[in-house]
Amino acid sequence: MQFFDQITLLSTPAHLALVKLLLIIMFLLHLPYIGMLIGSSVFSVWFNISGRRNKNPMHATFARDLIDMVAFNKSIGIILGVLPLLVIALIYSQILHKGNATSLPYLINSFLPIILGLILVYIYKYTIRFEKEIVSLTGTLGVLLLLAGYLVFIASTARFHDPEKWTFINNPVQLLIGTNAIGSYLLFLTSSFAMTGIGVIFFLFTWSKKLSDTDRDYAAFVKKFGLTIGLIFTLATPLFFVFGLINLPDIAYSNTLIIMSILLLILLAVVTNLLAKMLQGAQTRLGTQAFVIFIIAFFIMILNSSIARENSLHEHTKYLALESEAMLAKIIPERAIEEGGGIMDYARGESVFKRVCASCHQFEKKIVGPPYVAVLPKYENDIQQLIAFIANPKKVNPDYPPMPNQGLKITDVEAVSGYLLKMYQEEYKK
Amino acid sequence: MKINFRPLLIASYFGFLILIILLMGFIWKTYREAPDQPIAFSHQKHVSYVGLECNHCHQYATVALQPGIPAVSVCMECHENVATDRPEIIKLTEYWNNKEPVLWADVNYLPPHVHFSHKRHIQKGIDCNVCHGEVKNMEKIRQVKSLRMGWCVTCHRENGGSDDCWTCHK
Repeated sequence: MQFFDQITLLSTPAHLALVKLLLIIMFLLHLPYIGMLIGSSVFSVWFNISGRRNKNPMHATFARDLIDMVAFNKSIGIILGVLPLLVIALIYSQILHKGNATSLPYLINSFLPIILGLILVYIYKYTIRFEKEIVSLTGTLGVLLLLAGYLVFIASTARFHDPEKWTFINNPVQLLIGTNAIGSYLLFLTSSFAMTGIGVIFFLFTWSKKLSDTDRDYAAFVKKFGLTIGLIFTLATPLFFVFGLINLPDIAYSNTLIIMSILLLILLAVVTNLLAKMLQGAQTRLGTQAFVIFIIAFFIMILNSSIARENSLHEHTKYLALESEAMLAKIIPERAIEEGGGIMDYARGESVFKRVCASCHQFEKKIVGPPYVAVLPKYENDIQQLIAFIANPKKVNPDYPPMPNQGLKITDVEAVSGYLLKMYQEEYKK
Repeated sequence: MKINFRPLLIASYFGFLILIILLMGFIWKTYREAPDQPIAFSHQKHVSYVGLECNHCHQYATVALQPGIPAVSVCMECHENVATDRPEIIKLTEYWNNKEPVLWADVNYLPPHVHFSHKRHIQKGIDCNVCHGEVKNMEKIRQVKSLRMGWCVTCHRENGGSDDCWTCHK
């Protein structure tokens, strides 16, 4: 964690906006792929075991087709499966910097089972043709690691939506028992299974037409499986979605979130209708429409989660922006003091005084801050200290409110410091 | 004529769930959203940025039952001169010139039958954010904890506070 804290960059508002956009892109790339991979490998391992035990060649073939459907290329596994995880961790450590988000370490710890699970699933894919017990075991272990890894991953990200509860998450049990965490995981699983079912129809029938001309019994079996699984889990998805919405904290809500949620349910209703229609007629010609609409719905789910996160972290983002402002104000003067500057620019100093300082300070009268005659004597022989104070003020006298950082340019700070000391020495010093 | 019930069933199922979402939105908008205040006062700006302590404005928190909502004069100590051109400060100045109090909306409300002392809790070392959340980060003040009896009693039991009815219901 310290490593991630050390590599965080200065969180200016523009920088934070950019990394947040990148975070959404990473989720849009990662989650649909991983959802399909988990769905297809769960069913593939299931049919692989069932095919071998019951000597059912149809099941064995389907197990192969399922895993080939998503895990078709190792590079895709690395690009969409592993790399986004690392980027997501870096971005979260950036946007949650100094937020004491106790679930962040768990998110990073989830990568080990996830990456191991991905490796085992790919080994399973490349060895599935041998039809050995060890292949099924490898697949089962890979699937279990992926399921466990994503339980922690999804629970951790869901917990970021509720900053008020961060302090109460001190162990993995506290991380996982929240309704928000469990609800998000179940939503991820149901939508992944739904996407897999619809994906079977799209990839194996309408897109590649791989099964359109093969054994009719096998095609009918795959069609029935894809449509049934797609329909059941598309119907279950909105239940967990609404459950997750109910469990969101108040600060995560916004009008956009509600509108997007309704749009999502309308899209899922359309997909359900298409699937039911195909199941009734035992045909697959609407597969492309169903798959495309479901993918859009899946994207909306990710965007919705991003909106909720953005709403919840809004105040923390503001805090980081204020902090970066203060940091910048500190860094720039330190550099300029070393270089020396225009303390003799009295005209500019007078203009800054009138524009910025005079609302709170006068030389002989207390307004908001103390009169200058009371505080300038200690800076008479040390103008650099006065410059440092104006550039980065700290509370000095408990009788006055602290002076806010005015965010002045260093040249302005130098000019006003020179002007104040000159005025004090020439006109007000007794 | 054969009626197709399938779209009707699907529409009813999803329609029901959409109604739940609308209801959630209504409840959030009506009861849970942070209330609008007559002046958009930002605690974040004043605590995190300016560096004011809680009791700079809530002056009685350490000595009385109620923490006290600052009088307009407290705001004007600074804002007679600071940021006077901002719209919210112009509004504040109007209250000051008209000698009217700012009628802030209730955020952390306790019913009258609850006897709660800010002084006692602060003396026990309970930090403000235990009940009020991270106020220093709030742009718009909102209630964070339920402040219901179960929540109070749980905290009392966990921290060795009295759970006698008379403690809170005099």
